[in-house]
Amino acid sequence: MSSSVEAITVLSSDGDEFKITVSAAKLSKPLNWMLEDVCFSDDCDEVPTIEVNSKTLVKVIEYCEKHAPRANSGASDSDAEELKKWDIEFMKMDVKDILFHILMAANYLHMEGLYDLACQTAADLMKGMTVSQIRKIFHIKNDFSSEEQEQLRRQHPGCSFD
Amino acid sequence: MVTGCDNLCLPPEMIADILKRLRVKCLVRFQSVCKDWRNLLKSPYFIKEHYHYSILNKCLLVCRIHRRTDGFWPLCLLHCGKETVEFERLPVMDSLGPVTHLVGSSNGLLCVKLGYEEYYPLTSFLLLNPATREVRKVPKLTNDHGCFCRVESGFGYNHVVRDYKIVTIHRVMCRNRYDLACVDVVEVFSLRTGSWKEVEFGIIRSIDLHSKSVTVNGAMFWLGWDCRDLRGVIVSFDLKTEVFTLISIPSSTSIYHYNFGVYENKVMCLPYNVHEYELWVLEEGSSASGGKSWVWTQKYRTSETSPLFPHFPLLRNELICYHAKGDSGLLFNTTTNSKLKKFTSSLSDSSIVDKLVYVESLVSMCDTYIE
Repeated sequence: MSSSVEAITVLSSDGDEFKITVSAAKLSKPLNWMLEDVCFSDDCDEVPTIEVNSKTLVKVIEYCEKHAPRANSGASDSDAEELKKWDIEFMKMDVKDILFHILMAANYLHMEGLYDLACQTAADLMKGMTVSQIRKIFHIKNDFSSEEQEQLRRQHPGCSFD
Repeated sequence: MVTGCDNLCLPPEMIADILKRLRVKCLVRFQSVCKDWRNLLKSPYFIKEHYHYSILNKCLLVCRIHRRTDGFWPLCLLHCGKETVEFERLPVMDSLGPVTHLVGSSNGLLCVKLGYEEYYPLTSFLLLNPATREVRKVPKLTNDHGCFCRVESGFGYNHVVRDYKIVTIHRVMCRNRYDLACVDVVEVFSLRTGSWKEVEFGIIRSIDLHSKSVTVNGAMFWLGWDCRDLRGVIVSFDLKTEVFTLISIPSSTSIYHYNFGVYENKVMCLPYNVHEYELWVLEEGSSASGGKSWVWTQKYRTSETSPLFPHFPLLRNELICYHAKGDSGLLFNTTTNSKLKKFTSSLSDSSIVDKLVYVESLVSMCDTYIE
């Protein structure tokens, strides 16, 4: 890989172009492979496509750029603290809107840190939700018959269907 | 699984990855979301995933506390730095009496002794999953000596026979003083068979047990004192073969007191005195004859000037320590040799009568076993 390359251009699934630095791309194995393929070829005209929509890719790249320095060099405890705070701010997003997309993207891009963070954020949001709110954000239909609901209620008195 | 945003479906593995981070109380509630979720939450795969995640992230202490106002000893969950939660009282406890002893905890199940008299042999045992509120009454012990008897007990799980067992060691106290420590009967309860049976105990006849039991890899261990040879000893009981073994304690100089527990999933012995402590773990080796042998390895040793007292081991590599001066608890990480964080809780240490390391789980006494 040529050391002169500092950033590459990628396309989102919507066809928008994004720049990502080499060090940030290293956080993701598939991105890293892509990077090596692109840079090894002589003509770098071809822009690789990442199967993530623009809205999500912006956030994923933001996360990569923030975490890259620490991932590549290791950092002190105070940096880790600071990064944790940044993660919490970063994850203040709407579940319906983008969180599930981030989760899918992190899984597809093999980014363990982001995947765990997104899972934890979703879990924290779900804690206080009612069953019907859960059904709404996950787009699930209540498929229990009224007899089955009655049976579940008997087994678990705390069970609620709303 | 039909779930997801308008144009996005989360695969079941991802749903499981999110749900395993939730407390059992939430998960019990979310069983009624849909059939797919109920099946997932009841599947042995998910129960195991959730338990293993909780071991690493949500280790709790369950305590029996002394409350002066009503004279009761309610059970509480103690999280490091978080609010203490009192268990909801289960109706069965009203008929059997208050909890007098925390016997043990395994895979999220708790074994407690109930009754009004600590040394009375007819004490009832109760198995419960405090998180799902599942309860199982254990039948009465078959041995009734009709006189005062001390019953020591332990509770653990063996993954090979996939069975939970309660071990009780009885000592009748009404003979002459010299016989005080002699074991009379050992009875073992198996959750699978639902009954008690007597087992061979000759080797531990003269051993007095000085600790709560811990279970590691399907065997139960206690710290004991050999009244005949006058030396400390570790008693092990294999929950599969139901055979007792004696293991000598690590030899260390100038140390008089021993703390005992589990550390990084191994039996831990912690000899200490006012100036120092050492942390030893017990590992299985193989002897020249091909049989099992036990080896002690020293994991940690305090510097001479350490002001920290070891107090209670948590899972993994953390110890709750106390400062020689003052009573503020600290979580101490012996691997990195650093004070992790203050172990604060809304309970003062003096009000805690009894405690155990406990991990919440969805494990049911009917059908779930953890490999």
